Amino acid sequence: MIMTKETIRDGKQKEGVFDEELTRSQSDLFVYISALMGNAEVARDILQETNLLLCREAERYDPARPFLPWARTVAYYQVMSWRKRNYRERLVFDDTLLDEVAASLNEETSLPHAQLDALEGCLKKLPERMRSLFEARYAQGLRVDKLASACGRAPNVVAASLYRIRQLLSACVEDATGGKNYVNR
Amino acid sequence: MSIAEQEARFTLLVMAVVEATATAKELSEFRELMRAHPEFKLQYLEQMKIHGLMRYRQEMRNAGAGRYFRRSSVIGQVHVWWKVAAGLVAAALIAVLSGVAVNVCRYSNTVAFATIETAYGEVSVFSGGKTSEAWEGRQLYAGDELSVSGSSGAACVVWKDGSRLTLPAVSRVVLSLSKGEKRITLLAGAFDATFSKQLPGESYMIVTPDGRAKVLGTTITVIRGLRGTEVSVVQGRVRVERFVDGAEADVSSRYEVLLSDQKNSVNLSPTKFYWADRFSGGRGAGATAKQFVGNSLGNIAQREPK
Repeated sequence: MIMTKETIRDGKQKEGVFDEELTRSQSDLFVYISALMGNAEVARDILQETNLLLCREAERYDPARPFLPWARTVAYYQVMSWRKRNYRERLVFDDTLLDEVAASLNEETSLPHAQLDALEGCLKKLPERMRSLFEARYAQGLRVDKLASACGRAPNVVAASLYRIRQLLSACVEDATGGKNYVNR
Repeated sequence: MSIAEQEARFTLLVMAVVEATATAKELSEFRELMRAHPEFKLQYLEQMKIHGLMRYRQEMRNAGAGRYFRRSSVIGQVHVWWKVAAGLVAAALIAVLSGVAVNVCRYSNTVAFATIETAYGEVSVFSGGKTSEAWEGRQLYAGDELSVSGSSGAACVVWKDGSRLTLPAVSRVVLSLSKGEKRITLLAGAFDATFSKQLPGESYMIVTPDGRAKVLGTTITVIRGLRGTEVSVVQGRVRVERFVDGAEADVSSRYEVLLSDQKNSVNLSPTKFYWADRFSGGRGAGATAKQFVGNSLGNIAQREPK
C-alpha cells in the first residue's frame, strides 16, 4: 500500500476515533465483565486483557460501525478464556446462564460514559446517612462485616441497606441517562 | 415456596453474590432460581451494574484519574484532584467517627508494586490502554504490560520484596496482583527471575498460554517458544500445572519442563541452561528431587539426568 498524505491522515483520524471510543467504553466494559463474572475483583484483569486485544485489533476497527458491541464481544471471549484457564475457581454462572446474562446486558442502551457521570450526580442526591455508608463501602473498601461492626448493626441489615442504595442509584442513573430500567418499581 | 418467597430469597442471594460472600451452596441456589425465573436476573444486573460502576469509579480515583482512559483537561484534572482530596477528608472523618482504621492499601492492586530498575533499548509499558516509554525508576501497577522490542535491549523489574525479573529482547510480560499472589503472565519471549522467599499466604504465579507455575522462592527461566513453554528451575522448586489436562509436577533444581498443548509431549529433563551456576554460584541442588503430584501424570514422561 502506498502511503499518501490522505491515507496517513485517515489512519490518524481512525486511530483518534478508536482511542476515543475505547476511552468512553471503559466503565461499560468493566461493568459488563463484572456482571458476567459475578465478581468485580477479577474484572480489572480481564478488562486489561480485553483492552490489550482491542488495541491489537485496532486495524480491523471500522469507525462506521458501533464500537461498543464489538468491544463487548471481545470482552465476552476474554471472560470465556479466563473461565477456561481458571476452571478450578468458583464460578458464579455456568455457560448457559452466562449467555443469558450476556444477552440481557447487550440490551442495555444508554451511553456508557453517561452512566458514570450520572452516578456522580445521583450520589449527591442520596441522604447523608446513605451516602456515608456507601462511600465507606466503596471509597474505603470496607466489607459488610467490617461496616456492620463499625455501625453496631447486624451484617444482613447493612447488606440490605447497601442493596437498597444500589436500587435507588440504579433508578436515578436510568432516569438521568434515559437507559433501560432493569427492574420496574 | 411461593414466587414471592423465592424472589425474597433470591434478593438475599444477590446481596451475597455482589458482596462476594456467597457460599458454594448459595451460588448453586442462586443459579437454580435464576434458571427457574429468568426475570429474576434483572435484579442481579441492576445491583451488579451499580456495584461495577462504583468499583470502577473508585479504581479510577485510586489510580489518579487517568489510568482508565478518562481524559480531562488540565482544569478538569485540578477539579478531579479537589474531589479526591475532599473524598479523602470525608473518608478519614467517617473512619474516625466510626472507629475504624482507614486501610488505604486495601486496593493494593491499584498501588505501584514494582519498579523498573534498569531499561535499555526499546522498552515500553502498556498501561491503561496506552503504550509509553519505560524509564529507570518508573513504577509499575498491577495489570501493566512490559515489552522489550527490537533486536537488543532488556529491562529489569524489582518487586518490593526484592524479587527480580530480567526481560530480554522480543519479550512481553503482564505483571498483576490478586489476593497476595503476584502474577507474571508471559505473552511472548522469555524471562529470568529470582524470587525472594515469600511470606505465608503470598506467592508468585507464572502464567503462560500453556500452563502455570507457582513459586514460593526460587530462581527460574521461562521461555515461551513455538513448541510451548519451557520452565527451567535453577534453584528451589516450582510446581507447574499444564492447562491442557490440569496435570501437575514439581520441578526441582536444574530440571526443566516443557508445557505444551500436547498431552503426551511433556518431559521433565535436566536443564540445558545452567543458569544455576550463573545465579547461585554453582549451588544448584542437582538432580535430587523430581516429585510428581497426583495420578494425572501417567502421560508425562520423566527422564533421569545422565
